[in-house]
Amino acid sequence: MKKSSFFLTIAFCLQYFAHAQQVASSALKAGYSVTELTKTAWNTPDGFPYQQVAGANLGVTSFEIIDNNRIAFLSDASNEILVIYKSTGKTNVKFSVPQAPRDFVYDQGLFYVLGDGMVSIYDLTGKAVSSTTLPESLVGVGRITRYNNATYLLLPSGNSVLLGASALQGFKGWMTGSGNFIYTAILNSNSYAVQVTNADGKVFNANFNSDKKVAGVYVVGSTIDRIMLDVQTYVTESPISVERHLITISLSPVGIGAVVSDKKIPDLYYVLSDKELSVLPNGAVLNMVSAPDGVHLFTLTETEMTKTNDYPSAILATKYHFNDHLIQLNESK
Amino acid sequence: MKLISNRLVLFCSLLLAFTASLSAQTITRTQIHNNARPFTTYHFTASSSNIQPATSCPSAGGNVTTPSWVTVGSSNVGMAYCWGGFSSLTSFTSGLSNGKSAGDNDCSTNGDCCETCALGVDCSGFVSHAWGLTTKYSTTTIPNISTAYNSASQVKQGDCFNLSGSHVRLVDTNYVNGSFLLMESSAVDWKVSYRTYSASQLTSYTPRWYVHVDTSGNTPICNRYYATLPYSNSFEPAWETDSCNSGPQRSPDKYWKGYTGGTSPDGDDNWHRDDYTGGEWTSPTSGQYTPAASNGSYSARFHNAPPPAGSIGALDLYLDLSGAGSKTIKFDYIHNEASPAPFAFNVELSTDGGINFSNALLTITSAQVSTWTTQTVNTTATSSTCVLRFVVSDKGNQDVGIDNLSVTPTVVTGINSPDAPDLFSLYPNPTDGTILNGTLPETGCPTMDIHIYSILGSEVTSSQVNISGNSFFLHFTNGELASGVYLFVGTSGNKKFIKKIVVN
Repeated sequence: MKKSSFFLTIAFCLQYFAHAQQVASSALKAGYSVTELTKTAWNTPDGFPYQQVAGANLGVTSFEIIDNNRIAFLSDASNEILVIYKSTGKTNVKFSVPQAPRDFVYDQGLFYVLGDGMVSIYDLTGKAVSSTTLPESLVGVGRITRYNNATYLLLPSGNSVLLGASALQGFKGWMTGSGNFIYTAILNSNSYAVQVTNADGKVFNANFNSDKKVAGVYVVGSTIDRIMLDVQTYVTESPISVERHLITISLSPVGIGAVVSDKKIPDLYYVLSDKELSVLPNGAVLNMVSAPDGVHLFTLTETEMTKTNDYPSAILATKYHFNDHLIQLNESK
Repeated sequence: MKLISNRLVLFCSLLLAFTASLSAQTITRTQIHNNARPFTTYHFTASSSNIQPATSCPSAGGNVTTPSWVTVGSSNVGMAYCWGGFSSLTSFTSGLSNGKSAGDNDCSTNGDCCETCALGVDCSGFVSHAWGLTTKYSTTTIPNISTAYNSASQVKQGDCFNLSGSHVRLVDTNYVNGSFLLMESSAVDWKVSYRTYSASQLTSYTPRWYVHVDTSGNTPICNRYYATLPYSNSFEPAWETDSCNSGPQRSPDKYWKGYTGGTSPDGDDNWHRDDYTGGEWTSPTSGQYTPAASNGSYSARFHNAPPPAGSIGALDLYLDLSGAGSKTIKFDYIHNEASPAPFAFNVELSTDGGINFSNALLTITSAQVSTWTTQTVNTTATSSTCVLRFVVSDKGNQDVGIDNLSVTPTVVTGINSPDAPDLFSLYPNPTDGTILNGTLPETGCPTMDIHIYSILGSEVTSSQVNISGNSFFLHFTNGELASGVYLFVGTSGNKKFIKKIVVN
């Protein structure tokens, strides 16, 4: 286990100065500087469980920052939440959650764990607080988030529902950490649409072009002046092969601006994960990369410097997808 | 010898596929869905004999281990996974009574324990059932009875994503954002369930359609899409072309279709967004209601004037209401006209894809509704092919508007009470670091405790302010806030308000 609060501090500082500069000149093209926060090996005493099962290779499916010292990972291989210290790599606490968890979010001392048809809540020690059974009509939900003391399910349709009311309340777009609902749609082969509904109820629309055929446009998050999207473009359409890019778009109180950054994400997927990208309140983007040697967590901080730190060369050089390494079951029967 | 054996297996597979192709019946996409979904909602009762920890299955030469989610009692939901399994819902139920294991998660030992000692389906067994096949196909033989698409973006309900030799998943919904709602029997949770996948998660899979799927049905259904719940629409984006009749700007989104009928329908009978100025409406500004919307800037509008009586104009929303329990349909309505006659606004429901509208949920005739008024109706329909119709028949002289529509299921249980709508704002923001005003919804508390944190997480300042008329005022006199980005965290009553502030 390797990690460094020093690097995290540097990353935050870089992001801080970069962010302040962008407030003044957000139209300028920006880039991302990449810093590795942690790395955790598979199947070691202080590592994460890894398991090959029929249909998928499982490991960690989601992650959350607890505080400056701790990161939590959700294991769908062992059905656990594992909280680790970044400074020592030692496990702080781990505890079981219901089988086949899909995503989780940490908010004010509580974990909200999304499972199949259920949201379960635990405190930091693993003590179960409560659980909610979801209506049967909500199927295939893979993501959950919290905003302003409320829990939102992020639906595959690209919309959100607020849990807790007597009847579910739906919203167009995925709720993000800044209070913006963001909705995306593919318009045609080489363009996509973005709609933002901000906390004041104002609706902004913008269309963007892609030089390659768009396979999917997924919401990563937003800040007061940025929208982050995971834009996947086809390399081959059948069988499927894609490239992933972290696209950053400027946002202001009067509308959606231009693309300010385009960062390619490594082609490295050792296990199936539902949340690999996340936006911190300060605008930094976290990227969990699962590799054969373990789980790497990187922070990407926006910068206008022309020379930036990239992902480690070993990460960029490794091409691996878990779908190409599934267990081969004898299907003669 | 091995070569001959392999050729024999190949020959048998091809023969099996050929025989199946001759005997297979055409199946619609809806039928595939109706075959598949019960595998995800199947409730069964297990006894202790159905739960087996690494039990030997001598006749198959392997071991059986029941998945851990299966428990004694009636709380089990979903068809269990079993490698090589091809159980139907019926054979699963009867097999339980014979003491067989409810699923098998032991794929490490040789031997096929399904159906000898255990029950369930594997990935291709599930897809075979969904496609209505009487013989189980594998991921390596599914290509023999399906055709590959050129692109994943083409898949529709009932198609599959196949990875030969490894896994196969059935398509429920292809969303236009690149997300696919799929059903699968997998070892992720050792049962049949819904999961959502992105394009990158489907790397190396081939999108395929079953060769006996009823493609002729695509014409009359006009590429219908059924929205899953919850669904909401405030009619803000530009309306789309209706794929059934090529009518421009007649569909708020892909789940809607326009329809006109009666004795003498004309273009004025088509619903449009309220700001429509195209050629179908004569005198688009006449009869217009105010305000134009109850939520956002636009609404759905029926152009009531001029009034050729005897025709009707309908706006149809296609809905999948297959979830259990009641559903609430809520929308805002306006028709500011006194005693129009003849006139009728109806909300009707079809449960058979729009063939029959026998279920009238709401009727408004001559009542004048001068301001946007919320209408609420409920239904217990559980069809996956429902059509909710908003229809105006006969005419008046003032237009009809609907807005802020939502269709939501009833929650089984709830967790935290939701906060009030986010009416919280801070201004000016960015600020010069000396003053900060705030507005917030009612909290029931006359004060707010405020903490302001730096971007590194340390507290910069804190104070308590009085709330007056849902607003408050902060004055920083000691230069606490240097240029930078901060996090404002305020607590009033049991509510917390968080916003980022920028100090220039």
